[in-house]
Amino acid sequence: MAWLAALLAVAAAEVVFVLEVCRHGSRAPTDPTVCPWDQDGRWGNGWGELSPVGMRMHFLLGSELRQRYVLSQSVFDPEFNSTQIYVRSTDLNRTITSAQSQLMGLFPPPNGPTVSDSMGDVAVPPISVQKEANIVNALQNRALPFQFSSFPVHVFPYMSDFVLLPNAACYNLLLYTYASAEVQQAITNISLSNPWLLEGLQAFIPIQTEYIASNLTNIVDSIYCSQAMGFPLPAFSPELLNNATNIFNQIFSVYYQDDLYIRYGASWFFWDLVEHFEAVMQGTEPTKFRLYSAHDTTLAAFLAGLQVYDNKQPPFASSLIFEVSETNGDFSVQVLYNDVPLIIGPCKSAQCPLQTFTDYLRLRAFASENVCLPPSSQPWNDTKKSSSDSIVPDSGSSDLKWEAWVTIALCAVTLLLFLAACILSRSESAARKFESSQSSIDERVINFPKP
Amino acid sequence: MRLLCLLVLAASQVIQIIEVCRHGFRTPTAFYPWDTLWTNAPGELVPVGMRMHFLLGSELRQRYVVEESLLQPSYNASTAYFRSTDVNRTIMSAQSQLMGLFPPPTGPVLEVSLASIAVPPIHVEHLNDLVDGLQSKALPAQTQTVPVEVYPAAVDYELQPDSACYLLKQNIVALSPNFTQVALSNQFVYQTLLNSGYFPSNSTLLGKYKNVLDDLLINSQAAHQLPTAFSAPDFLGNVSVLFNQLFSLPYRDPWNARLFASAFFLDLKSQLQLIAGNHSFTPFRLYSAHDTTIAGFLAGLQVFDFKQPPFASTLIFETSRQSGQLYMRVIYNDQPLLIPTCPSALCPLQTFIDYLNYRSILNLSDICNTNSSIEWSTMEQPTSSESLTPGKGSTEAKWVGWLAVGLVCLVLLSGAILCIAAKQRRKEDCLPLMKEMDQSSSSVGERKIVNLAFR
Repeated sequence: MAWLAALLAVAAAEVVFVLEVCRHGSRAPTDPTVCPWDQDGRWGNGWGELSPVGMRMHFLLGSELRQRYVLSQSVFDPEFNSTQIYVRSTDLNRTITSAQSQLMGLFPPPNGPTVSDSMGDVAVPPISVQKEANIVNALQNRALPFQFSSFPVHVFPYMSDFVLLPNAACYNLLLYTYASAEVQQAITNISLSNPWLLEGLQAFIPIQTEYIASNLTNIVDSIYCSQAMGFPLPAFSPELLNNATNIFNQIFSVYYQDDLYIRYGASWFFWDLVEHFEAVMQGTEPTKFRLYSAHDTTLAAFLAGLQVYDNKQPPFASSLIFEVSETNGDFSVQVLYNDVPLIIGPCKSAQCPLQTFTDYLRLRAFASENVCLPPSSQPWNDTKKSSSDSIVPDSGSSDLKWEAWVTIALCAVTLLLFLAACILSRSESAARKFESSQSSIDERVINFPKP
Repeated sequence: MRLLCLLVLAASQVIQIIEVCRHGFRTPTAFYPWDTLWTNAPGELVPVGMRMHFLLGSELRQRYVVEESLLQPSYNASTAYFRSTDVNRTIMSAQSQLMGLFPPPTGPVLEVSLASIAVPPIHVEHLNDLVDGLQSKALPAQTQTVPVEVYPAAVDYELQPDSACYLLKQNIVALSPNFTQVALSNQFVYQTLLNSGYFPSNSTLLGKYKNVLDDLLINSQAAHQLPTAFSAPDFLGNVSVLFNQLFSLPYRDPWNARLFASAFFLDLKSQLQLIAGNHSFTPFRLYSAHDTTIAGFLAGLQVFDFKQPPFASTLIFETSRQSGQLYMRVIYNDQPLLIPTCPSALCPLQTFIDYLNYRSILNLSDICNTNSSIEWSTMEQPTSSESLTPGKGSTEAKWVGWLAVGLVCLVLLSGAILCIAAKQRRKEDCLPLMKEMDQSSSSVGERKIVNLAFR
């Protein structure tokens, strides 16, 4: 009897809102690599560009989501409807084209719009089109060939993309990533503690092992990229490749062991999630499907933020899906990472009450978004303010004041230094002391980070 | 003579296209009681608009790919750049146009043997059917996906200066008395609208006057039946004339025209200077925007006809090489424009670059958002500040400037204090140090000057 009730409850559950974060599909290496096999022009000029395989991955991903959320569940319309769908991407070709490919799977031809016969004469641009009759005849009533749709993918420049690229938008996180000596040391140690791997790779890449160590992620990434395109590679032993993958994952996941780093990486996204989940619960959320096209680092930070990260690099075209269902007015959320349902923090099962989940997201985000105060004025701030009361929105108007404060602070600090030098100079040779403090000042001028 | 002309034309070669376009046919940006026939939400691109841009892209392919071989027949990320305002209709217009420029089947293919690798890391229910249907095509019909870059309105000084530039926004608001005056100048239209019963008061009507007129014109273009209140003969003709008067109001002010166009002109100038300086450049650049954008650029060039640019309008900056010389042709909806200071519609590139420079406000972002005084360029002295971009660049410079000022101050100040302190003890020790300090502070000072020059 209980079994039947459970079945009925499941049957009544209806998916009402889906938010997906995905990684772009297979691509060329992001930068010129040190690997000899990449020197044969196999990537053309397209460092970092999405490959045909990557497009296909996302098209298939979109096709499957159509199967699940349009054909089986009717979460949103079978044709693209701009009021139901919102798509955003980081400002890189590969993520934008991945989103476009996935949308093509979600709304495949011929689900695009048509032009009524009477409007055929209006539907021309205000220039002369030489072969207009031929083209229009071939189109018949289709707006675009094959009755494709066109899709708006919204993009945020690096400097304002706090949700998907906090490692570029958040100045403090940027500093933290590149300046944390501990982390850098940990990465170097991982590479250097595997001489077997370095020597194994050296057989195929004739450069010094130190150089291989510092380029290890670049090399392994290059191998992945070529594998995904079926390009020829040297005859690596399976043990070497396994070992390389393990080390790569260790290095990749180093950052996501640190709670502060994780909060920098996930807070803005969590606030965004909270905003939409609350709107869903209040019945004010207009969109049914939101797609965020991003990177392995984005997904790793979000997974680590949810405390379910497996310390492996998310593969190409990975997807993290937040699927909100409603059962008789009760909302619950299921989180799927590459099809695997995740059990999150306080949730007792993979189907988690939405309110519990929202509270947990708040707990896992920073209390305030002032943590990223950028060095230069940013007249825009696209991140959505969290609805949490404790968060004081950054005014943004006090840029000048801020600069002035820094200047004053620097003045004060250096003045103190000089005064200290002067006082010291009374007891010893004034000239020598002054010289040393003078050189420290020069260093400050030279080493001050470029904003 | 005619033969000579033909020969000259034959010898010319287009080497770069920078296109600014308006989105295609859209729904009215707000709906009124009679707007019952639209299937799309307000302000969205409709299928007719997609078709417009597809045909536009097809024609550009004919001209610049088939005839001029400016681009390869298939998309190549390194030869093209696409940018749009952050609005659905402009992004979708760009996508539709690019489907015409790189139509299926010019998209990528992959080896059939890779089908098992080219799958996402989730279970795909009908995988075999899908993959069989695709064969070697990466995407259906071997279509091409293209990346269109987008800037949020608040920072889009180039394409949405009326959102990004605070001063321009204020200037447009300040025009509202003139606006009302023009609106009331046509009493026929005004009374017809007021008596239609759709607007509770004249202030409600005047508040959205331009929007209402735009709505009526779009409905008439779409052959939608309008309420009988608007059926008077010649009503729509009057609406059309009046709309253009209202639309063009902000562009009649030469100061506003510069605020509208400066950021784009500076970008355009830096692109053209790449060609003039024999550096590598992008052969095709597309900027998908609005009627206000194109009107602003035309007004900035002092060639605006004070009419709203129609849907899918194009403003094309075409750089060509003829017997070793570089030329610019500006073409607005197929019409070559005669730009001031140019001898003909075919303008020597450097003359055009100088003119762009002359028409631009160099410290635009300061002017837009603070009370800074204006930096004008002159024709004789083109600025060397290549890196001047509106927005972040100059504010960064400002920040560095502050720091530099601070550092100079404190070095001098501390030096003085130190020397006073030291003077009391050993006067002779201090002199060489003073010299050293002078040197160090003057080098910092130079840096400060350099940075400030970029503002």
